[in-house]
Amino acid sequence: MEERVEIIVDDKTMHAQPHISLLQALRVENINLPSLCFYPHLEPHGGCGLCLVEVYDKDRWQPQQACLVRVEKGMRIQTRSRRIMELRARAARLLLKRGPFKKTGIEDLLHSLINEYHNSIKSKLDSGFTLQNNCSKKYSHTGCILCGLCVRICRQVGQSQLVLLGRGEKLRVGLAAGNEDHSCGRCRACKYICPTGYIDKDVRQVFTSSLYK
Amino acid sequence: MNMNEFRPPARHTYMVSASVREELRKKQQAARTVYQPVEFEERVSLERLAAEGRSSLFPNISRINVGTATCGLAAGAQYLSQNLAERDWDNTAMVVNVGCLGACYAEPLIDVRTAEGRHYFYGRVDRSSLWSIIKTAAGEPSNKNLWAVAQERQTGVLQGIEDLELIQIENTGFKEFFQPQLRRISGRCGFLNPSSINEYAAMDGYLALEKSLFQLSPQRIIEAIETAGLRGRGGAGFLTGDKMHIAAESPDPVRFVVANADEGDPGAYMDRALLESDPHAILEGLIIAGYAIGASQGYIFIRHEYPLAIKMLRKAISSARKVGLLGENILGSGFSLEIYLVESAGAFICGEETSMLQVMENRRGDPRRRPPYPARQGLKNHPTLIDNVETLANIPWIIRNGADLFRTVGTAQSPGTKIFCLAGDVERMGFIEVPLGTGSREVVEKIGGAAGPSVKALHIGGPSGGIVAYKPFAMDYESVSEAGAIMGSGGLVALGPNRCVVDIARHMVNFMVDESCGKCLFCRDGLPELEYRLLDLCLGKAGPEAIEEIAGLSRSISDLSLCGLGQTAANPVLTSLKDFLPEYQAHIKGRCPSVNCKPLIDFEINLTSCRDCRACYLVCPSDAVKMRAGEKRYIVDQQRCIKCWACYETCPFDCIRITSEEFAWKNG
Repeated sequence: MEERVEIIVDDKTMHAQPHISLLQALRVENINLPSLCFYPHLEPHGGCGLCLVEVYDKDRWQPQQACLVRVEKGMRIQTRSRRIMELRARAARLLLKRGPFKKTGIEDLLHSLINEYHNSIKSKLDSGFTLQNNCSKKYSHTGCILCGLCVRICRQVGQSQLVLLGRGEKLRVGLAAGNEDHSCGRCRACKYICPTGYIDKDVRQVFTSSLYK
Repeated sequence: MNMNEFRPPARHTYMVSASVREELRKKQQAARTVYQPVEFEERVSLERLAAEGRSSLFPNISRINVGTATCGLAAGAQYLSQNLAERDWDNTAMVVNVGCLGACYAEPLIDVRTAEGRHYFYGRVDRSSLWSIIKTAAGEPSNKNLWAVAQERQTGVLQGIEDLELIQIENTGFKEFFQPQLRRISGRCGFLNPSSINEYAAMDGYLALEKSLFQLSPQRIIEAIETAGLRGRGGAGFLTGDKMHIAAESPDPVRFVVANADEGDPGAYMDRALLESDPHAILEGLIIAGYAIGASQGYIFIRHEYPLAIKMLRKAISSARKVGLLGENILGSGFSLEIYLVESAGAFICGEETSMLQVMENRRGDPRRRPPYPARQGLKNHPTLIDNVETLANIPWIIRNGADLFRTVGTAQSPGTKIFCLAGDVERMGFIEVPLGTGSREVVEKIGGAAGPSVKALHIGGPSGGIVAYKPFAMDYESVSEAGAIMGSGGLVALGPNRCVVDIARHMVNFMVDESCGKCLFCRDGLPELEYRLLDLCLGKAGPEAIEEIAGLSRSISDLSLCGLGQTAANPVLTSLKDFLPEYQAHIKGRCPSVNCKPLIDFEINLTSCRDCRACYLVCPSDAVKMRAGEKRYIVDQQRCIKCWACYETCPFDCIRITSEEFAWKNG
């Protein structure tokens, strides 16, 4: 095991294992940043935009996804600055638009992040944000936040059956084309890892029967 | 462990007859024979190529150059070229399909070169002017549609338009378009036949390759490029010499060079123009770059949407292979390079270098985090030098003329010339090559021919560039970033006073929404949200806090995206917010100062100068113009008006007035 290096988190000195994901290092130190797309045994993806920290880079604070940042010696990090809370609230709002989610706990988490920011700046929930009607377009896969966990775990432990299809707004998780006859391993890793409960049945059923939903 | 338990793997032997063994041995030997590359024709010396090229470039008969790049074809050059080529010239003239001269506003452009070295330029040619071209080719110059006449300073020497001396100008714009330009790398475009390697060699082509292979060592080439200070022309402006240096110093012996011809910016087409008009220059640059870093394979990553450029490149590669300028043992120097063409499937993001490499490895074109930079770890984790097409076209020029001459134009930080694609509200559009640091006024007003006050803003660098107020500034990497935009690939769109900046910013964000790969949350979901907010502004529905919200959202998109696309996607919004804040504020109040956003404008008929010609009444497609008895004879029914501007454009007496008033939804 490598020697632990010093990092400065919120003006407090801490020791962390170098070259691991910053998010993981912070979790070891009991600083729990919210995150929906991180799983320690999978490669970090940086898709949910919640695990934000400000990293001091050269001469300014740069917001970055903690899961993608590697621990280096002498890093200076802020986890609870106002800018971070604002960005996190913004991300939470964008994620909420992909709802409603089957696991309601995730909605509570996102709402609490938004409320936290508004409490900190002592304003009530701003008028521009309402949950229902602010969505410009209907997302085709309601309840999936495209965190990519299922795709990554399928590549790791499953049969690499899940892929990201399309791009931009039309991005969606789907089954890899061309091998319908090979069934997936039915390991249900995707079902257990899905943070929102979108994959709640057999994965094949979830992604092929969406036409009739 | 007891040694007795360990058994070596079993090895079986079979008894076979001697004849079978002999057969097997022969088979194995046959399988083991080394692949011999197909020997093409014997190597042709560059001198012989050049001599052949000169005979077709400067023939003793008239030569008719028809501009048939994509811009020419769109203007109808195919018909003209066929018509001319099918004529029985009886050995008095030859018809050649050339690329684009750069004056895309003048297409179809035909250049007739007579035997004594006189060039007759015919612009905007149509069927009616074919006769004058035929007459000119036959030796009796005709003036119909003639734009300019030029004489080669020295007959039989033509490197670019600078070698021509204008002796007669019929169309003054033609001279004004070319005079401020400095055509270094695009000089050959429009004069040589892009599918002929001979003509490229006749215009001093491949001399730089010969020089670098036999007189210079790879280190010397990299040094030359470093002293020249050549910066990547693809957008970021990274020093090419540094990239080459990193790749050449790598301990990994397997290296690649890649030409990035995936030019996706709307409004930028310099790569296409170069590839269609002068493909050998890019090949030569790529070979030299490959030699400099010691690469064994080169790739050209090209857009699928450029079919003509792909065709020209394929031809160029095969003809270069045929004469031994490509493939094994180039020109007998011992250096070998293969060049492959990779077609992209048409995604904007794949022009970004890391995602381009993913595509070339047959994966989904998602960008990855840099560092490691591709110059250290690129294609298949080997060092890869990725250069834009225009950058590569600069390399042979530097090798041939030296780094000091390269530095004579441009600024100290960004030397050399740059190709811009001028479009928008200017009189003369086209691709232009000017020294870096040329003033924006000179480009827009002198070359573009726009009247100064008729340009409100400049949109530089495509959808990830910026919309900045039109003011005099130097066009180089530093000054453009100071002005608020980025250089990008060099798209330059002039926006007139009746273009709504908010609407254009919305349009650019809309483009980015479609092209985002969807990996990062803020780029995927934040951009549609941003577009929605901007649309609210254009519809007059936005509240007073909208601008703050838009600015905050744009900043978070650029802060938290992983790749260049997301980081720059909100640039048009951020830069236009800086320079055109009053315009945004006016939209909140329900007015569009540039009378462009349809929901915010109303049409009115001013009856003081009306002569009752009823033109507005007749032309209105939605019966919104009503005729009545009494003082107000004509009124516009705002409920029915679809704001098509037809009445405004038709009225001969300028009676239609456009008002941009407080907007209220009439239909609830």
